[in-house]
Amino acid sequence: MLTFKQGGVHPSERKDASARQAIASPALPAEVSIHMNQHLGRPAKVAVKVKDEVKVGDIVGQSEGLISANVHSPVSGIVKRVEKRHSAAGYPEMCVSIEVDLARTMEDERRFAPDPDLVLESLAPAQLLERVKAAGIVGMGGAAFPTSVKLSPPSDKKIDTLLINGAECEPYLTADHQLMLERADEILKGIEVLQRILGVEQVVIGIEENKPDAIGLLYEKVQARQLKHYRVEALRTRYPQGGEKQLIWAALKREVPSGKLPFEVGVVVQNVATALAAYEAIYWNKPLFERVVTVTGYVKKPGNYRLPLGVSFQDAIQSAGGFVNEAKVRSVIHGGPMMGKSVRDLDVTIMKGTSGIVVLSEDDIAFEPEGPCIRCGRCVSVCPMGLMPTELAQAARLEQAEHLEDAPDCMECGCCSYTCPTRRALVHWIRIGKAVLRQAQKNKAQKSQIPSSQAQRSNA
Amino acid sequence: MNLMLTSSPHCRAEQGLKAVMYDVVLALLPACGVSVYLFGWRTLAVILVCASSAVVLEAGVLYLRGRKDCWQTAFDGSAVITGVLLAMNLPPGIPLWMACVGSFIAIVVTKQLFGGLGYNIFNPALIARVFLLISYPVHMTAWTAPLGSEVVTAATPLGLLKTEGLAKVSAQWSNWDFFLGHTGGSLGEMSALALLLGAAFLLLRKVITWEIPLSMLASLGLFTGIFWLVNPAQYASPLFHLLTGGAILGAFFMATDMVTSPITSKGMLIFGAGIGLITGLIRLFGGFPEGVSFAILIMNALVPAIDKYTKPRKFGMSRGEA
Repeated sequence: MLTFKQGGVHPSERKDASARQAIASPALPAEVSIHMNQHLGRPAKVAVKVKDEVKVGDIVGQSEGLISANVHSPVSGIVKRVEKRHSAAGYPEMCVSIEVDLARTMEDERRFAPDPDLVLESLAPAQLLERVKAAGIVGMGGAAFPTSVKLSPPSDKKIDTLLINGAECEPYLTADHQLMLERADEILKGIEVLQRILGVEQVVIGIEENKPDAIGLLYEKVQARQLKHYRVEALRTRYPQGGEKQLIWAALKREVPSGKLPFEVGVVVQNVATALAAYEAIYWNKPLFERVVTVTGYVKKPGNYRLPLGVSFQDAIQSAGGFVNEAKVRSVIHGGPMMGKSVRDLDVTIMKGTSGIVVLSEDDIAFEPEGPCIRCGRCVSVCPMGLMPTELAQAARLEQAEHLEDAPDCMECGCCSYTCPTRRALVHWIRIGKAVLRQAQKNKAQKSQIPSSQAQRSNA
Repeated sequence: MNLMLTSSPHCRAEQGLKAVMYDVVLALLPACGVSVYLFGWRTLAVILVCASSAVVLEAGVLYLRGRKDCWQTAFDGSAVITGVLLAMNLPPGIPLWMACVGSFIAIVVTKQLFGGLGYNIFNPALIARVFLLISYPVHMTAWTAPLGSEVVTAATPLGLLKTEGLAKVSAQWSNWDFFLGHTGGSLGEMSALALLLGAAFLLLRKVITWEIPLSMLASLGLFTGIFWLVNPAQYASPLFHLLTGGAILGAFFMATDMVTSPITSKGMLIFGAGIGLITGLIRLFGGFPEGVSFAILIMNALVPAIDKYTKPRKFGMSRGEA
């Protein structure tokens, strides 16, 4: 069984509640609020004004700079507000709120339909890339890195493999699983689009073995479509199997050098949902304005829901039947429980990177105070990056930048905190440690820029 | 509605500190049972006095340190373990007040004065044992004979080996006696079988890992084995050395103490191998018949250095850079 090189944990999967639930399309809410920072990189620039009329698929945020992405409206309606407000990522950022015109949205949505005449080979890779970029597609596994950037490797790097991430290793989440079951053909067509843009032959699709039906189906489809140089691989169910560097090792036995990107070992990794978005962008001419989100945990109807961007968590949770018992709700997570963020309120909205909304009750979260490190070494043995989390956390606490050199290698997967018997917030401290290190490096750079002032100080 | 804002990850492994600690206590029960069976009910008193005095002293020091929840923390399991492990290192006939002195040295001096759980450098139970051995050598080497013996006092196999030589030892016991526990010795030196049962439980529950016990027993076996091969008439077999004294107890229960052992896998191997080697040296050439305690304590002191030089290889780092 293929798996990553070292470390990892196996948290209780808790996928049963929403696994194999057909993707449902709930009724549209009265209003959607669309953030400009739905991707990594620079936020998009607001392209509409209050009282503007927008249609489904219209650009409301224009890509700004090299690493950025367009943001499109999922509805037709009137722009009500343009303001700064908190997003599910936790930061205040510009946000466009649109009052939904239900009838017109239904009408306008019809223009996004498959183009039966389209022949992929008739479009040049550069044209495809342009359309993927225009469609505002970003990595939909959670990190939301602009896909067009990932599809433009530096010219000196030879890419030979496209790796498709269907691992979905986070507990609770099942959206990608369901997408693979319901839209396997379209995902494969999307992969062909990505393949053509990159000009690579070899494609590997990696799926955790807890989704045998998806593995079987994709394998069948690959056979049926007579796709050469495609491999569908079952991966061991172990977190963080879907981490980019982990997946590359598991599927290809290549080790991405510390601090480098997958380009370095000739690989581009794309999530299955991203491949589907690429398919829709090319074949349907449809920008990325909705996605499938697993709404699960302490809700009445856990499942996989097709939700427009900008739908509030409140509305999304309502679509999933609402809380089981509101009084017992403790935490609502944007993403999965291992790497997701807890949100401050339910007014935050669905973004391109929202793979799930997980509601945790007081029974799910045991509040145990942080204890001292008992040096059990478990954090070291589970770290998939080969770091020493407890020492990094300690250095962060003491603000010892010289002992934090390894901190940037931490991808914050959370295995260390998960496994710690005294419940130490190791990842939290390592995050702080990264900031400590950055600050120290900045100070050092400043000092070396002004040697005269340094000299003065040492004289004094 | 009031949502909790917490840092990821939002789920935690089930096995917390208490589960870890009480698993160790549970794993020691078979060995405790054997010693009570062999040496009578007074042994149970020794165990209970050690454990309860450890907890009381822990709570007391926590109170003096101004900690909240002193009792709750004192019952986190770590003090109980220290108490029971101390008892395992004492002869059955030890005066109970002496056991309390041991608890004081372990909990107050070795553990709390260094900062409490997680901060002590040396294994508390072993410092206490060594302190008692030096302070009360007569009481600490008065060995009660086990059940079914015709005599009142007995020698430990390692003691007899040191004073009388191998022939005398072979005449008195077989390896089965060591394995099942039918010799003189400390409470925890009796039955290798009972200790191994507990050890298997700890390994299965992943409370301890294999590195330290394996490397310690392997290096002790290898070291004593070389001498045995050279001169089997003078030196005892490696099996004898593995089954007697504190080898098994030390390997699975003392050296694996998390706080005082390395945190990297490679470090654990070095740590264990060092203990095995030093134990062998002391047993074969030292003044004391048994050396496990000293060996573990010496290696405890080296733990920070071992950790420093056994950092795991970072993923994505070529050999030259790492």
